[in-house]
Amino acid sequence: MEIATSPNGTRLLKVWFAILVVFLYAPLLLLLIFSFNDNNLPVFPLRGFTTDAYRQFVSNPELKASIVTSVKVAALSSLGAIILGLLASIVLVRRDFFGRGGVSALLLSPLVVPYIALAIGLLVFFNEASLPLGIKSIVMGHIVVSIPYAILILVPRLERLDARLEEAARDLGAGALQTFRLITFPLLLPALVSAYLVAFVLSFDEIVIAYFVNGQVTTFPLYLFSTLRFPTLLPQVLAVACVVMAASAFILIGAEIARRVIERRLGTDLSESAAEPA
Amino acid sequence: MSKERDGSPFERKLGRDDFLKLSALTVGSGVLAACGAEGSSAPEPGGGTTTQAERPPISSEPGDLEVFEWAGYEYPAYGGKRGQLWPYVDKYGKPKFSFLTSDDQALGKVRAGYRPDIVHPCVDYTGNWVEMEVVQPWDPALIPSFKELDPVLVKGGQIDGQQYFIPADWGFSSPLYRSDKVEPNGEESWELFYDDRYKGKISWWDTPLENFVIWGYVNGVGDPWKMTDDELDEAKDFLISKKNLCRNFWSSQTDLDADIAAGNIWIAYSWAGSYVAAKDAGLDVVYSEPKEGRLGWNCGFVLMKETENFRHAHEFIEGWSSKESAEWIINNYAYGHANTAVDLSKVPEDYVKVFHLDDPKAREEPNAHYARPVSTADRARYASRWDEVKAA
Amino acid sequence: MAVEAQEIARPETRRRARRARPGFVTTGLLAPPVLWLVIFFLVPVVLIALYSVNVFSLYPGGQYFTLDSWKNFLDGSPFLDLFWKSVRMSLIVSVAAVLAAYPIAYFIALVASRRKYVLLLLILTPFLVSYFLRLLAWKVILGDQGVINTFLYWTGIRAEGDPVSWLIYSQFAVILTLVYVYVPFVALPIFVSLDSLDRRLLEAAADLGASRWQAFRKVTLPLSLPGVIAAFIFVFIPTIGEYFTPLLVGGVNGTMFGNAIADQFGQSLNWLNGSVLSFFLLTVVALLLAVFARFLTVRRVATG
Repeated sequence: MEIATSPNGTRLLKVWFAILVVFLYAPLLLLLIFSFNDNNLPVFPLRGFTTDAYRQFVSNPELKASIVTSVKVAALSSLGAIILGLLASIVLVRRDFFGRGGVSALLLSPLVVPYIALAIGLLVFFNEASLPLGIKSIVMGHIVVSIPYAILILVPRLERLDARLEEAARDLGAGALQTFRLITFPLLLPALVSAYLVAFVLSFDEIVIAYFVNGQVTTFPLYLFSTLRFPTLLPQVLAVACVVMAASAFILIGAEIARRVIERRLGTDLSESAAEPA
Repeated sequence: MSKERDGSPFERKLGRDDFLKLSALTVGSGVLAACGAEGSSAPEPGGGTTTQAERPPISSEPGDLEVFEWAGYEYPAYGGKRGQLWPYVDKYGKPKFSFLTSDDQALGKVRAGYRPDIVHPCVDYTGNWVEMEVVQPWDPALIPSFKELDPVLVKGGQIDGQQYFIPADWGFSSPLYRSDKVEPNGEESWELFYDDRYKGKISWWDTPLENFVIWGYVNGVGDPWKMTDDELDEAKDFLISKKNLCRNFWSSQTDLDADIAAGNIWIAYSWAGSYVAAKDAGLDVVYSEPKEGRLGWNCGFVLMKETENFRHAHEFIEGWSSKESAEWIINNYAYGHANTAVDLSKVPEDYVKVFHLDDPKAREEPNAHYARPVSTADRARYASRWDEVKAA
Repeated sequence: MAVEAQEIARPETRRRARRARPGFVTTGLLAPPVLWLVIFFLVPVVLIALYSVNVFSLYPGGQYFTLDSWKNFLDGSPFLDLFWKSVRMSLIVSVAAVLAAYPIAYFIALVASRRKYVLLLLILTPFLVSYFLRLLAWKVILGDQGVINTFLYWTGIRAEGDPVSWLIYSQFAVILTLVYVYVPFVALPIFVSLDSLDRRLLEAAADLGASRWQAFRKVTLPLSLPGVIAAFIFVFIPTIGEYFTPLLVGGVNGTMFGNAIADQFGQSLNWLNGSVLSFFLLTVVALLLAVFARFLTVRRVATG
């Protein structure tokens, strides 16, 4: 028996999920349409089909370079954020110590600072400390703002995680690192993946900090905003958005197929065994 | 795709004849204006903090020129093979670029410690750059094309007789309106912005200065660019009383163009580019000639004080200022360019009327009011009141 | 059973998990994140704090301690009203986003378990498309000749040329697009807390005769509350300082506090005011966070 919902409840949830997916994707569908429309401005009526935007995007080295930069920045900063966030979360959940309140306040405080104030402060600091501006400085800033998100995702999971499992492992002679590797980490994986995704998209779309501490490198949002004072480049960035969407869809479908293939081969349900190890 | 405009994304839009015509014409008017005021006001060469003789030769400079620039002016811009910078790039290689998104953000970034060699602000911010003590005057003697630049714009870039600003791109600002929806009362005027009949269809530019300046010209104050506190307070109260006529205060031309094309906005403060975009969208629009006079904008270059690439910077600006570069800018961006020696043979007649290009006086006071340097203190007086208008 | 689940998170358990040399290990684990934030967060923020009292300034001119900007701000400045308006709008957005996202997270975590990661990615993918572009698409939907109004003309509900004009450039537009932007984001922490729920608790509840609704109310909802609160914080705090959304779809009356801050640092070139506004926001939001945290603790004490 399905214990979480009744059949009717499941149906309702499915409908709601479908509505939300439409809500989320309808604007994207419009972007897709406009990327093929023969008009710089995203307005109806449509004028005619063209793939110019895609051809121009492919031959625009600055635009492509900016996307590569953004992917690098997002990949590095989200990695940094989940590592630092994980360390902090473990301590916050598993250990009691003097000043715990103050430390957690500090760890979450990047949430409450307007990015523009932080960005200006960071630039002043980087200059005073003679740190060079570039990908590294953007990554440093993005890690700062991503840490609280990582913590907010990891802490609830860690709190639910049965500490006795770790204790049992330790009692059976496993070292601290071994316990982490064999028990805590696998159990935390879904939360780590979620935290990584959040940090990634946060960084990929962030513009204020990037604007101030970028030096000479240009991230995709920076490119977007600096060129969009005129509509001429709009079709190209729409094309980029659609390519990103297509790539994500590809990865999504690929992941689903891979999961099915592996499941069939192993004869188990991977997601269940990962989520319900107890 | 034609070979000449190889790889340019502007083929679809800016490549259209309209844009070419418009831009050629805007420059044309510059030439005509220049004819009227030949060789007026170039400052003394060597006006910089260090005279030419003391400067080490270009070969001893690091040559890692860094330009804080509007996107699209980098080299090669948008995949184009040759930008307006080729005269410099052929000799010295590609400079590094960082991109600015607005004048005030650029000022803020430099204020926080960012130090490029050259920045591309607009002329009304020159005063702020100078007061911030981060820029130095140019040495026009090191820029051979300087003498071909429009003297009106050149003079606008001088502070205390020093050439702190080299004009480059420019254009008009004027009310744009849908002639199928809007019927001005009598003579065209900036007062269209305050017309109750078009509530919810008006868009002012989101800027601390111009909205007060417009009120100043409408009400005939002494100097709209340096109004008294009383005048500013009166203007503020008036603007607050009229602000709900506006649907929005636009901040990017892309948004404005889309809103006009989508029918959300009928009346707007606009640059010539929006007029061309609206025409291109098949709309009946008028780029009006208000009786108080059009406003004008002009952007160009300031030289950072701490640059180690003094001569490279001048070489770069020579590249920008040359008439070859001007032609490229006009053909690809539909902007006016300060160089007045451009070949004007492709000037179409239909735009002559719209932009009064047969009248060399059209861009001079009192027919048009070009932006001018505003001191930090004055800008603050305007800005705090604009804050109140927006927050009200 | 609910009590046992609570116990997992209780401090006693935490203390039991502590091993030898706690000080050393705790310090070692905490040092990297804390140092990182002290250097790259606290130092820059303190610089801006000093700016708000004019002790530190990047502009030529006198630097002396003054609270004038603070006084002007707190003494009936128009920004204060703007702040409370922003708080109201953020509250609406946060509540709406959490309500919309909870069933989604529930569905993904507890019903669609075989495909949950694919579904999760499905709702997160729109995030990879620039915020600005998604807002642009909304403008096409909400405009006077946009998708919705065109539909209304077509059905005859509205006469052509008489659009529903509050759809765009209004507080409504800001709230709608913010909910749109934040729903997937909000679903994540709720998903994580529901996903880690021990299903045996629900089975036990069913065995003991609880209906599904009772099980949800007594077991699932309380256990997912930390995730819900995290989700709420995810939206509420950043939206108070929201900047781009009001700028793009807010019109003249949909502006928020974040726009005022950005304007002070930007077009008004008044960093003194900008830092005052920033720190006011920071302080109020930090207080709100403290209240949330307290609420969490109290709940634990009450039920644990």
